[in-house]
Amino acid sequence: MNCREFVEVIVDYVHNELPEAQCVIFEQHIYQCSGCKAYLETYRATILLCKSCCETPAQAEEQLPETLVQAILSAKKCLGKPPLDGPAGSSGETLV
Amino acid sequence: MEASGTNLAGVGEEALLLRLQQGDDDAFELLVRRYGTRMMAVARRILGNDSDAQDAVQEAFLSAFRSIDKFDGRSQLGTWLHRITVNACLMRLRKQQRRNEQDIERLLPSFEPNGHLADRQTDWSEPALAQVERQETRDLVRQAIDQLPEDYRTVLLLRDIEELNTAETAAALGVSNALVKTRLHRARQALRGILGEHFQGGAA
Repeated sequence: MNCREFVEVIVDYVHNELPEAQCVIFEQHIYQCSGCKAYLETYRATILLCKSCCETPAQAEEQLPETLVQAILSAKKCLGKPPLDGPAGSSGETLV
Repeated sequence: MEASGTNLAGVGEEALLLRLQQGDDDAFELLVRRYGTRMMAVARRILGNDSDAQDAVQEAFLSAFRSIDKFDGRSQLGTWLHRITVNACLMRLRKQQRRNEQDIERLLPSFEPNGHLADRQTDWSEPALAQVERQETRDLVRQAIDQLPEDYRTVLLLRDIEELNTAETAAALGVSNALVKTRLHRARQALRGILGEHFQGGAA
């Protein structure tokens, strides 16, 4: 395994999706190549930084602005009752 | 503050859902107050500003209202609303004009013809992670994410921050699982490149 091949499969390695045989070769490369070891560590750090820096701390979660609550309630009044046999709500359906 | 003028404040999820499906206005208000803050946080993370986030949250609630009859209760209301919010944000993102996008190729590693890394790599992970609580670091990371090209930024946000799985992300974006994986890897590599420029320089 060379560095190019190593970097290509990092995504599988960090997701524990690398087949065992390849995993052994991957880990051997870490011991032989300080550059790739640093690459792996900083790749992992990037994921952690991304997650922790974008989390909203509980105390920072302020109340929804009252103007927004009222805007949502008024907009909903304009829509009336939910359609019983109408078309599926587009936004919520894709992922559910 | 929970739904004003009602006694719904302590109502459980199942009862709330039933009332919502009956078209109960107070139940809808409770839904907005109970879940709106979390939805706003999601929208802010994805859209990066309050004004667009508020619009997306409003769209998400209206969309939830329209499709509440189709919600079968197999997932939690919060999970369902999270996904609706993500979709509302994605729709807005497609309309947004992006600035300061970085050329992703520049941020990916380069290799010698024999496959060895061309540049010397420095492990900046420890000093970077030690500063994770600092506001400066949080701002730096958010700005770095914002510099990613849109297709990459969106995948990174959905997978690494909103924690959707590959299949959910692929469905939300209308692309294949393989493309989600490729984009996620490249997005992380590019982000690593931007962050590395900062942390290796000792500027933090």
